[in-house]
Amino acid sequence: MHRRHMIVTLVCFTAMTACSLVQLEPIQSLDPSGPRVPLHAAYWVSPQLRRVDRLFFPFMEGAGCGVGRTCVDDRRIFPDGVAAVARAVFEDSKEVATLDAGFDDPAVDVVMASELNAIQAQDFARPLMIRIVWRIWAKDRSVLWLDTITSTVSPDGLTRNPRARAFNRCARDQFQQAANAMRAGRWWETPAVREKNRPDR
Amino acid sequence: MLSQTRAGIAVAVEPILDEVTSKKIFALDLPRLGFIPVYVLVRNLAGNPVLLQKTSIELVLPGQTAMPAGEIPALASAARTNAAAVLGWTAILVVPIAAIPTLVLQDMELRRAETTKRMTEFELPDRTLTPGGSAFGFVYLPVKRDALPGRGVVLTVRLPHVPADDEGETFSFEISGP
Repeated sequence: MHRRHMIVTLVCFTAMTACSLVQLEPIQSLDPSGPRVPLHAAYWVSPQLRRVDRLFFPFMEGAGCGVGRTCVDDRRIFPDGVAAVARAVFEDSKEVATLDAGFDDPAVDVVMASELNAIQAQDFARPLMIRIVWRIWAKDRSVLWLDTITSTVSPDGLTRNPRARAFNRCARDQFQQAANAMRAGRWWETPAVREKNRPDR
Repeated sequence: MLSQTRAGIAVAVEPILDEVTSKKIFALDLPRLGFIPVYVLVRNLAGNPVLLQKTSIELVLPGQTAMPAGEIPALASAARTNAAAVLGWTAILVVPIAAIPTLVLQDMELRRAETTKRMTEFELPDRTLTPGGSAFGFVYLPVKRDALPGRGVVLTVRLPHVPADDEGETFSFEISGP
């Protein structure tokens, strides 16, 4: 009898774990770590970044929240993260549909975009890794700032939920690192940048 | 390792051409497969930032157009790796005699997957090098070892200033073929 109870408990526990939803924290804002860059920025989220959740993370397959599924697709981790970086770095920012729209906008000083360089999520023997190349251009399309940010996180466990939570931490770390790096270089203070962004040019 | 210092910028490069070193670092003989890994180290001690981008690193063979460092090739796909694993186990259980060639294929596919991961991990990052900054890593030039002539091969590393108002500094290294 005792043994049967143990088996039933084990089966129930396994079923509950498999069916539980992962409540991930949305990335709305990042911790401030310095003054904002006094420029108006346009940011562009590439279609590649919009697709990344579904493409690379099998535990995020399927749209919306459901039994055994996460809410990641609805949370829009990457688009929201890029927007959070722009808000944290620049005095003013807005999303544009294409890069050209950003360059053509007279109210914009600089254009920011990011490109996924590498991702590691499916090999359970390695930690989760996200590597993104971040770029900021002047209006004449010359590169003002560029960096490749790598964020790495080891999941607490191998099953779906710990890995989904670890992915959330890894993405947040990526966006926080990117914001810190963009604010750190003081690239916007060089005379050449001031000249490039003069309103009468 | 070949190195040069000019205008406060130091650049060092080391192409990996031999099979033993390539296998030690990447698990496969990459130059035989058509990708020569070049270790690049850049240190900016000048007063202005410079732009380090993999596409600005090129290999020039005599009489040919320059070949820029390329994207990391997909040497193995997840689907092929999984299929190889399934085939391997099926062969062991059902047709033991067919297991050996299947396992060899499976091992090759897993090694290719491992190589792609290592290439990604060790890749040179694109970045703005601020004064005092440095970066290092591998770029992968899309050429086979056998296609390299004994002499006249030049590797160029172009580092434009940021904002890119001029050409910046270009470093050229002559590389000896195998």
